Amino acid sequence: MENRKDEKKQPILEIDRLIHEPSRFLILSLLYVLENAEFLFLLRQTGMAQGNLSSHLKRLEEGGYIDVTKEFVGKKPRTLLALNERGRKAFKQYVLEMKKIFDGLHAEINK
Amino acid sequence: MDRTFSLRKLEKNSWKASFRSGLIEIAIGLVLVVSSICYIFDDLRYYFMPLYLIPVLFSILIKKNIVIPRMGMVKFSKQRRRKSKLFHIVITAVLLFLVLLTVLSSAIVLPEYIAPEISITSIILLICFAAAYFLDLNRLFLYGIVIAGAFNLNEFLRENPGRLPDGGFAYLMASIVFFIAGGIYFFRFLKKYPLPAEGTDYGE
Repeated sequence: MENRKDEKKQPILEIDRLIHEPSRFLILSLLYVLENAEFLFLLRQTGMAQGNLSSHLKRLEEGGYIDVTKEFVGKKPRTLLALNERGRKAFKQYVLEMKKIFDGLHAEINK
Repeated sequence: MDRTFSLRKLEKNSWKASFRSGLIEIAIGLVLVVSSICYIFDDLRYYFMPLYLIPVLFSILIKKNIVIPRMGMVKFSKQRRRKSKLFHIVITAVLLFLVLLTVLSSAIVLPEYIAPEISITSIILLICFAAAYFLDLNRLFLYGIVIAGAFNLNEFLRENPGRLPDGGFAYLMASIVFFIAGGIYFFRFLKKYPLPAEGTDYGE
């Protein structure tokens, strides 16, 4: 019982796990600095496999962090992805929280 | 190995990636070829001036049909687009100045420090350096020097005809350098970004 109470107090366990995954963090970082990007562009820039990228994007879309727009260019489908306001806020919040955690840790390790 | 993670670097790398297709180099090569043609047919140069549209059309077509289908569409941030806009404003101002200079030079005798060679060299360098700065494409600093060098060599050969042929020779030589560089970049780009397989899309 006591351990569970202690566990809840650990800030590291409260970070956004949707963002706290290296591939998703990279995707969100890219979308943070772009207004929008086609799926193919993200595929090229991240170097991920198509299935892997699609799966992470689905998680982010379900989490409400990205907007997905499907359009047609001639007969070819094109999917545009953009970080929405909620995603942008969540990303900033995540970075701030991680900074706090690691600043404290860094100071302790270097004592 | 640099293990720092920077959003700025990420954005810059994405931006620069879209300019590594060799398109710029080939377009500059085409501009130099047209300049050479205008120089060779000096009396008819005004009829050949519309040929300067070729590098522009070439760039648009190649970007639309080869670069974007392989790299994907992207809309960069407002800050990046603002910087790009500033560059276009600078270029427009420079070109307007060039037109004014051309008009003035026929009407009055200009002072020596704005002699055509110096003015045109300055304009070439200004355009290329502005592009390098605003568009974050450092290699344009070098290209500006090469193009200005070609222009001055051309003028020198024109005034000192000798063993080397004049008639746009320097422009042609410079264009070969750009075509070679552009060709290498283009080949590498095609290898790095093959056409995506059918069905390469989110959720496919």
